[in-house]
Amino acid sequence: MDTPPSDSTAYEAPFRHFVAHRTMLKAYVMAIVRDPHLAEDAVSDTAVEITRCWADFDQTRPFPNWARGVARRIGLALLRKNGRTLPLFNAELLEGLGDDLDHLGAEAELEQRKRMLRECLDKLPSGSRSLVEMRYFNNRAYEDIATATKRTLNALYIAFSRIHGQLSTCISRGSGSP
Amino acid sequence: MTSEAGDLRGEVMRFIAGDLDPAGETAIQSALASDAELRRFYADVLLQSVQLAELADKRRLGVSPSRRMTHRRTGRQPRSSLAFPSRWLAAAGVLAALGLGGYLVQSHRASVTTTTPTIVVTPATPSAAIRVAEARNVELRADGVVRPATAGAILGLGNELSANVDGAASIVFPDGTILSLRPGGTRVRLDSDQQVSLLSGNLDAVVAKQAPDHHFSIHTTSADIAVIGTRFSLHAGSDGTAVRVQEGRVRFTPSEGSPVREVAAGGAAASGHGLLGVYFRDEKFTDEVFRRIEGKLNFWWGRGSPDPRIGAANFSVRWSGWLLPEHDEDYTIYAISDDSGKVWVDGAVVVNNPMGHELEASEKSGANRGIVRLRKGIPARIVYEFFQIYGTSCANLEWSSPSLPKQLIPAERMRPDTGVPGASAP
Repeated sequence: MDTPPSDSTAYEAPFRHFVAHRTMLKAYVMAIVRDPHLAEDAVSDTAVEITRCWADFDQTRPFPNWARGVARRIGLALLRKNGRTLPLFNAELLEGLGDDLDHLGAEAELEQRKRMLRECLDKLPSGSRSLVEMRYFNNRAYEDIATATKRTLNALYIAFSRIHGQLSTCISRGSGSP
Repeated sequence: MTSEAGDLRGEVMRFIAGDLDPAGETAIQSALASDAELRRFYADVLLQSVQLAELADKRRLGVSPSRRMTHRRTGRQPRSSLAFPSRWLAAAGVLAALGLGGYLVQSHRASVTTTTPTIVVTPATPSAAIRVAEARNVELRADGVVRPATAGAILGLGNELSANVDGAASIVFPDGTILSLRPGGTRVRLDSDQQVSLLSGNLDAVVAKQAPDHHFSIHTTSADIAVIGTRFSLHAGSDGTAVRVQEGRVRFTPSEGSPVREVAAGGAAASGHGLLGVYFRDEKFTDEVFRRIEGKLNFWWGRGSPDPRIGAANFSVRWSGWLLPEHDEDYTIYAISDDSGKVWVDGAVVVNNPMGHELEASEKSGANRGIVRLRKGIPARIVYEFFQIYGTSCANLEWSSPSLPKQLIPAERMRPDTGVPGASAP
């Protein structure tokens, strides 16, 4: 086990950095573990690991890239620990995904996006909103939702892609209307 | 958007759901790597998924902004209801040990509730009170009155907290020490500002670094655990007490008179009756998930799982400890194991139920039993390794002797292994 730094203030910087990128890291690790609960576990472990490994971080380099490397390692370890095997990620894709997440904004902007998301959600057509609630609020599996709504899985995935597209457009407009 | 683009976005959703075969995975990853617009959509969906889950927590709870942080845990599904806070508590331990626990709590609050674009990280104000930081389906007994415990409640000396079957709570001490009560009837009593009694159940502890003359301790009916500043999990029940140390060091004092032990990180100790059961997430005894003390071994799991933490297939269990015979005579040891089990007594195999054996045939042929000479008052080491691949599962352990009819070996005739990794080999 790593020995924690003796100077208590040594924890402040890594943790401050982590907090400032928490949502980005959560979304990134979600891509790796594909399970919201496992993603929460992974991002929490990432906070600890970032604090412990802070001395390894070259502070002349961008923090998000280094933190994503830590998060990726933690996510993969959690998958192994939970007996889950997923195909390896294309390195180019992960790098591009990291950049895209960075472009979505810093933590404060992501908080703003979340407020917009809530408003946009309220303005979705009832059928779409019901799908979102089933999936994200009630944690129902796609198969289950497909059965309940008498859709094929393929149709359901397309429906969700449209809903997310609508929400994305709505959030980008900042108007609160999809 | 073209229909082809729409199809690809549908495939992205399928990819996120983990519903693609390997060829499909490769194809969509290639598409995402080369198509920047599609990848931006992917990033956006991931972010929305994370944020929708956070909004869902709040909506399920119907919490007011001022109470969001304290009820954050309550909206989670059972599997992760503890995993998330426990991991945060682990992080808190790193910081609390240095007096920075407030940073984590503060940041957690900020991450859930902030409505301003700036996240300010400041240390939490220390409080002299011992208080309930989070509570879900937990009762507080104070001065003979039982009422639901709420986050923020102050705990007085002698007060008891009881987590219901699906309840959980955490208690925060002024020095940053955090005790997290797991679901399933965990009960604790505050004895002093330095001592808690775990009356039953399981808890996780992150104890802030203690001054040389100040030891936080947890008392159970069968052991005392003196903590120097560490992180550990603790089980207490009628079967005994088991502690597993993740960081730091604890002093473990079994109440039945066994020697005092110092348990370091990675180690464990147990007291009481029964055998120590170590459960693995694979059939090869390698990926340990949890350990607990078990009384009589008489498990009929059918097609179910022994515990929510592992599946119904591909798991293994190693029970280990000591037999405490009452007589000087030949004992017959019986073990039923489906799929497979093997029992050693003092290093010799006495029962071997291989994979694929028939339970009834094994019973008729006597293959599920073995004879061993035991001596009154001399503990005999026993190890029972069991694994399950698929289908129904069961395991039990019985004995008989000229003086004893065939019976499940009573818990009081067994003492659990120390639980030290590596000490359980046959």
